[in-house]
Amino acid sequence: MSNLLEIQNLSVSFDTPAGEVQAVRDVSLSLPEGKVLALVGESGCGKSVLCRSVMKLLPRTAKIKSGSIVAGGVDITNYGERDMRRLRGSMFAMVFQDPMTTLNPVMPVGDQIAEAVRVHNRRISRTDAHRRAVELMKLVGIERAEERSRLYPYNFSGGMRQRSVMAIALASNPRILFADEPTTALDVTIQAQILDLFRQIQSTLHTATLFVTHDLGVVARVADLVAVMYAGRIVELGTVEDIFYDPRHPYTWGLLQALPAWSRGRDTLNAIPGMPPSLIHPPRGDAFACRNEYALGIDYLEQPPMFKISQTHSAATWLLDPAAPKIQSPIQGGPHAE
Amino acid sequence: MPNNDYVCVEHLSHRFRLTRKIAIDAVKDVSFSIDRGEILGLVGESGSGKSTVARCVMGILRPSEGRVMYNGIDVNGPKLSREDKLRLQCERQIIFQDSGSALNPRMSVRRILSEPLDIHGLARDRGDREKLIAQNLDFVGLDSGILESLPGELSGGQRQRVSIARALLMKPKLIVADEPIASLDVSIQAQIVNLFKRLQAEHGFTFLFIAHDLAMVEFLCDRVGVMSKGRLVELAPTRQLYEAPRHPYTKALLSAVPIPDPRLERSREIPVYHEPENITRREWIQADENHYVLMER
Ligand SMILES: Nc1ncnc2c1ncn2[C@@H]1O[C@H](COP(=O)(O)OP(=O)(O)OP(=O)(O)O)[C@@H](O)[C@H]1O
Ligand SMILES: Nc1ncnc2c1ncn2[C@@H]1O[C@H](COP(=O)(O)OP(=O)(O)OP(=O)(O)O)[C@@H](O)[C@H]1O
Ligand SMILES: [Mg+2]
Ligand SMILES: [Mg+2]
Repeated sequence: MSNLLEIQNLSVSFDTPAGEVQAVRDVSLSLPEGKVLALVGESGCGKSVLCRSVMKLLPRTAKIKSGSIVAGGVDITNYGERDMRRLRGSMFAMVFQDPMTTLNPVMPVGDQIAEAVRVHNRRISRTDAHRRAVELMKLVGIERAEERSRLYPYNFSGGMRQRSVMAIALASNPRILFADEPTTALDVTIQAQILDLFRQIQSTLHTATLFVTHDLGVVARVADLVAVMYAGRIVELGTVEDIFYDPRHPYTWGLLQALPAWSRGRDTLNAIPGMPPSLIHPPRGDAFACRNEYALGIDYLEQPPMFKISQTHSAATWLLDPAAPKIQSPIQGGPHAE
Repeated sequence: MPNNDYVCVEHLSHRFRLTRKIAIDAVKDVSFSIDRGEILGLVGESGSGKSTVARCVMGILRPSEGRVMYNGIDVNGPKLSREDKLRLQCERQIIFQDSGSALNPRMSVRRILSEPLDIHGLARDRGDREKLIAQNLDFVGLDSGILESLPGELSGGQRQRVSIARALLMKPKLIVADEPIASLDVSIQAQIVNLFKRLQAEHGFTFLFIAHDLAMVEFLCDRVGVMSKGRLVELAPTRQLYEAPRHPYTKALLSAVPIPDPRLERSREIPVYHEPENITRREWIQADENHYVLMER
């Protein structure tokens, strides 16, 4: 199994009048072929910036400070706009949250997909592009595709629209798919269908997907691997089983406990107290320390390294240091155990 | 007929005309009311008309048929007095899912939050205003450090919280929230839902809460309405709806809620709901105390 995407020690900052915003800090991540990696974490922790920095879709005020990005075996860290434009057509594609912002309301859906096919393959004839569009519509599970290809987005249900957006994303045969909260705007029945579609595409096309979401139910259904991000850093990384059944970072514990299932029959939900730190002058030590009821003295002084728990699982918390006191995870046994 | 319902939606229908030939019946004959101080949830299929209902309640869209009453005022009434208009403007606030992206990109967060206060001449004293703004930012879990930022310099969830703070600043009596927390992570969702609950308890404001996250709806709402294909198909107190759903669409929806447990979740088949064909009769019947369901045959 090879890694389609390797990010190593990536740091990305924005220059703002108030100072340097360190949005992504020393992130290392690999994305194997045919897998879905879910990226979860607090709002503003750098998930979208991380995706955009791989695709080089950042504003000019952003700078990659250090690190490397290798996609499909090629080091693209220093690629300029022209090289990237080529790659965005063949290597990467992106699916966003709201299908209506991607679709043109006054153009038949089939034409929009065919156009995406032609953008990536200029030599293809109109008829062939249309044929390919219908194929793609079938691939993403739109029934009666030929007929529907002539309809407009408003004739489609929310689920069919998001499927169409997927078809547009797949028109370029991408090897790596970035999905930034692609199901947040959908109802749960359609969401389940789209998630299953993601998995099916994974297994038939062997793409690798970086799936940004904050919905842990979605993660449970779609992800093979999970990266938990906090204040610009990855704080825990593992298989979906590692993260749900044996989480080690107190922030991951907090996220899981914030689920309404943990507050059944109570008056308030378990929000993690406090606020994430400013990324302009991130605190010394572990950025989560001041909100962490299990924080140790050293957390305020020194950034914890990634401790390896198993072949697949690692976490950056001093609690995993051999010298640290043993703490029982509050998550043990799930929300329904008392 | 005068009544005590705070918000009353009566036989509301809305049709979007796209071209001369094409029209979409987005909302079909929907009726419900919200009591003063109640939190009513509205859930349902993507594209079922929830946002259209919300926009009609706010008077952003004019119903094709039916009407919306707010505290005795016909929201789309032809001859509203100045006083009624002002009340409608100040007392109702809407929060959209992506209202963050509707923020003026050239205004700093400070100006975005000050503007509605300026327009309505509230908190004129500079110190009061600073305090009010800081307090509302704190409510939504943002630091005053972002006051000078432009919307483009914030993450999606940060922008969304700025617009929630802006709506709360006006101390509205009715909040219509159209997927206000969908773009936020679980911990901040929890924080904001707790905040809504607290504000509701302290100030007794009335709330129409539209969301896809059924677990949050269960936690927050007193009653829940379910929409499918433009119609309200079920309306019941939250407990009852979740424990004994009647309409087949409600059942399908509730069983599709993802379970945050990978082994359980992956082994589940999610049922697909198909609307029965050739429906000839629809009847809104009472199934239980306060529990209504649309019978379709
Ligand atoms: N153009 C910009 N200029 C300055 N700072 C920025 C810019 N874009 C993003 N940031 C900052 O970078 C950080 C990371 O933003 P990002 O959009 O990646 O968050 P996110 O994890 O995707 O959050 P969300 O879940 O809310 O979408 C945020 O703190 C944000 O304020
Ligand atoms: N401005 C518009 N012009 C034309 N059609 C519209 C417009 N707004 C909504 N519609 C259509 O009206 C129907 C109801 O849309 P609405 O946005 O109210 O649904 P919703 O329940 O809020 O869906 P979602 O859960 O996806 O937000 C949909 O078929 C939609 O395509
Ligand atoms: Mg984001
Ligand atoms: Mg909507």
